[in-house]
Amino acid sequence: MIKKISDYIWEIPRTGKMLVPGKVFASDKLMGKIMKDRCLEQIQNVAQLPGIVGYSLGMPDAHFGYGFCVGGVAAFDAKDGIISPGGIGFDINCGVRLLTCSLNKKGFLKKRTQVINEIYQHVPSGAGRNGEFVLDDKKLEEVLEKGLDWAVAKGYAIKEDKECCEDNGRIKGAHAKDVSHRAKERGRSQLGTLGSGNHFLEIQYVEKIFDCATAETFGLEPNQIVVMIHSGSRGLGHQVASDYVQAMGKKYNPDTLPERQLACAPIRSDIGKAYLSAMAAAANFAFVNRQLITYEIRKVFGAHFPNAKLALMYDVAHNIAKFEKHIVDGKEKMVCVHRKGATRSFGPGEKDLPSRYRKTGQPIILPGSMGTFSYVLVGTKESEQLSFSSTAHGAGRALSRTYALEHIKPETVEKELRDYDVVLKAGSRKGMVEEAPAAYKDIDEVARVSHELGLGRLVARLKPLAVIKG
Amino acid sequence: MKAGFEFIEHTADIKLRMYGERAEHLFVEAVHAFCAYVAKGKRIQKKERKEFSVEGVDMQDLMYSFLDEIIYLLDAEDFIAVDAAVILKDNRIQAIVYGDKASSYNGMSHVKAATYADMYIRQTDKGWEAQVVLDV
Repeated sequence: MIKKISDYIWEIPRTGKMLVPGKVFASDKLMGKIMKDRCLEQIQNVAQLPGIVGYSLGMPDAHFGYGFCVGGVAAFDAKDGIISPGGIGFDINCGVRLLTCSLNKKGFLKKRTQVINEIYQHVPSGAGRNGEFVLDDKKLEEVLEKGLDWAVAKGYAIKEDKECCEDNGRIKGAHAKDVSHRAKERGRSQLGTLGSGNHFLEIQYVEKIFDCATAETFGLEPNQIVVMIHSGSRGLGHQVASDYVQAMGKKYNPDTLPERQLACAPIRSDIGKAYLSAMAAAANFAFVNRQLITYEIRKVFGAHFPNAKLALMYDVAHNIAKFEKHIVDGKEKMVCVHRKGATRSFGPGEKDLPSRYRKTGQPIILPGSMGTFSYVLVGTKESEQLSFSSTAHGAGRALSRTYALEHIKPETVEKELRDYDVVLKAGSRKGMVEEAPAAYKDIDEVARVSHELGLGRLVARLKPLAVIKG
Repeated sequence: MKAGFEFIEHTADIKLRMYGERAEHLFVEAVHAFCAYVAKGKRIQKKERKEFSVEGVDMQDLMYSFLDEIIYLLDAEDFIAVDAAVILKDNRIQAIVYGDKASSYNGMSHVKAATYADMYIRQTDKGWEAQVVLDV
């Protein structure tokens, strides 16, 4: 059913109830893994949703999810299309930020263990550990509606941090009233916490530069220390998604959908609008969450390296829906792009980018998995034509957690990390095995395919030195 | 049929399958499976209990709401459920769950949400069977 149409592009022809064809960006090697589960079927299911335009897309790191695949991108007509919480994911504005540090590898290694232990103490991870930022209703509502503007006003962020977040760390149209009481209760004590699963915090160094000029603009230089934070909107965002999946399923007949998890509502319906507002609020919560983790890291770095500055390079969302203008059938059209496990990759000239990146295109952060490289890429013009300005969001899982637990020994992972010269702080050995590098697709291949296709071009490669896993 | 649960292969998330003689067992086993995943093999004590009731438009919706409540208790009330007693009537569950303060244990995993993906609940010749995918 799937046809290879060029080296890295595969097409799923329109059949049955599909309204548009599907398209997947992958090398033969990555497609081998993608075809092992029902990811392609999920791309076909998304192609059936009302108002979809262009193609139902799979990024190079695509894998089986629930409803939409992870690494899935779909654009819906902003007037007549739908909005689907499952197309954004339960972890609304799960994302990554990268901090660049004016410290080199050698300087950091002298204090590596001490620094990572202290960060581990200050940034709670796993479940059942609450952060130190517990907010009352009024403050929580401010976080939800104002995002990073709240953090700047409270002294947890500097102005430059705000400028280097997608949407300046504040998605407009967020109303706290559209977030349920349950969601607020779940999130109330979780600001400044990492969570578990694939979330992590890594101290890395710039191991290789591919594009010197762009790297310079991004503030990256060889051997420099950088800090990568991967987390999202925690229980608050998860509850927002759960609430609206259930509510939309009840209101709009799920029998017409290929799967109940694809529950959706017309974008302009009351419930559609309420979800968009709640999604924006949860996204703002996630920006603040990553900011408060940054605040804690800066304190620890400040104590050990008084002269080192940690600047935010960029903060990207990889689970989000956004209204953007794209060319569809030769005409410019306002669409609602759902990115679930995919990164926006705006190229040069885009007015929504911070002025410092307007000439280069936006930074894209592709996290690896503790025992592998991570990458920084830059957004491109080509991605507008190919993928509604989107690319991959990381390695993407290849093995199930169950399989990893049964087939990978903790000792093997520990040895692998030692040999790779990584210090790991993990909440549990089981968690460590579930997240073993071998459980993920080849990040080098994902980054290469993105570069070759022009979805996002290589700028720098990062190697981990110390890792905290939730 | 002996009540029980198992974890099934799923690339990114956790797929649970529950069995039991009666439909009620599926919900109790869902708590056992949830705890097995979250506590990663640690023995959770039954020190506290919580009561709640949830409704659903059908059995699947009821399972979704039930797990949503178990996840909520962990996140919002720092309570990890290890066992449950339930009464099921007309798509409504009344539950007592037993467990402990989650923060007394280290290295617990987090569950983001229950999903409808690949979900089924059905009566077989031997009893009842259900499947749920949790987003972790």
